[in-house]
Amino acid sequence: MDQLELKDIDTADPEYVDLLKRVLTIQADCEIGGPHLYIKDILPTAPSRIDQLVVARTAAEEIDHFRLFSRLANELGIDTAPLLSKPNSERFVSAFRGRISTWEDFAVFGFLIDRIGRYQLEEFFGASYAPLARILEQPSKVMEEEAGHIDFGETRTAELAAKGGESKERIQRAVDYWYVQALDMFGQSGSARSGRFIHWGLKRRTNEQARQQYMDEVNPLIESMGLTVPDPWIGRKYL
Amino acid sequence: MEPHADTEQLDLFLREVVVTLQAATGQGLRHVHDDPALTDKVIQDCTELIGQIMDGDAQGWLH
Repeated sequence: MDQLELKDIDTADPEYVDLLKRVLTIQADCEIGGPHLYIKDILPTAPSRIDQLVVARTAAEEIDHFRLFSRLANELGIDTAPLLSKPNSERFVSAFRGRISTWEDFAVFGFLIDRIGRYQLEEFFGASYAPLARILEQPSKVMEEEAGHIDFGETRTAELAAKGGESKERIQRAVDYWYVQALDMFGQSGSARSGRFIHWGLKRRTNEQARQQYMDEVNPLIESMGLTVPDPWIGRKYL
Repeated sequence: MEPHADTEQLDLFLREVVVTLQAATGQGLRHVHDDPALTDKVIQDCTELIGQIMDGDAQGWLH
């Protein structure tokens, strides 16, 4: 379908407008949901001043990402201010309904969950809603910053695993938890709603395609760190 | 399609917050080895500002 601009929304199909509003709201919710998970406990306790500054900078970048997607939602009449302060337990995506209180969890969150963030942003490449597609056009500040979050998390995860002993055990437990959360973030396989997002140019891959690509990417990375890839079928909510 | 009333104000406010945080963290990283006291102050300031955003009092910021 042809790309739409904001001015075209008044005459767009109601299903399209509904799905567009939904995807923008969820994206904004996820962007601000990340900092809400880790800021309270991790910013003050990160291992070094450099790490504290990286955590603060990461939060700043996620706030900026929230700003960008929130603006698109605001332009469609949606009030996104409530997303800024809603309880973690009410986040749209289950991976954001908790709290990160250990450095291991923060590292693995960047390694595995920010990577899901990249996958989600890739779904918007060439999106049918032009303002959304423009956020991801190369060079995309959002993509570059997300890559930085992933790289930091991956590097820290590998370092902690390389220490061996108790450090490696703790990081393995974090991988065991977040890997399952990550796979569930792709949603149900064979989802009819996913098909509608694809139909309307708001998504490029099926849930199962994206999930398989993700596993093909991260499994070798986990193994290269001397860690064990968790069983992808245990503890899952969305298969 | 009517935009939400706070569209421009919220965008401008958050943009300023992000610029402030990016400048501060950059300054902190530049001086982390030669001025730890300055870096600690930067971290404290960033913590306070991010905390305000996490509190999410958008109506208080904008009106």
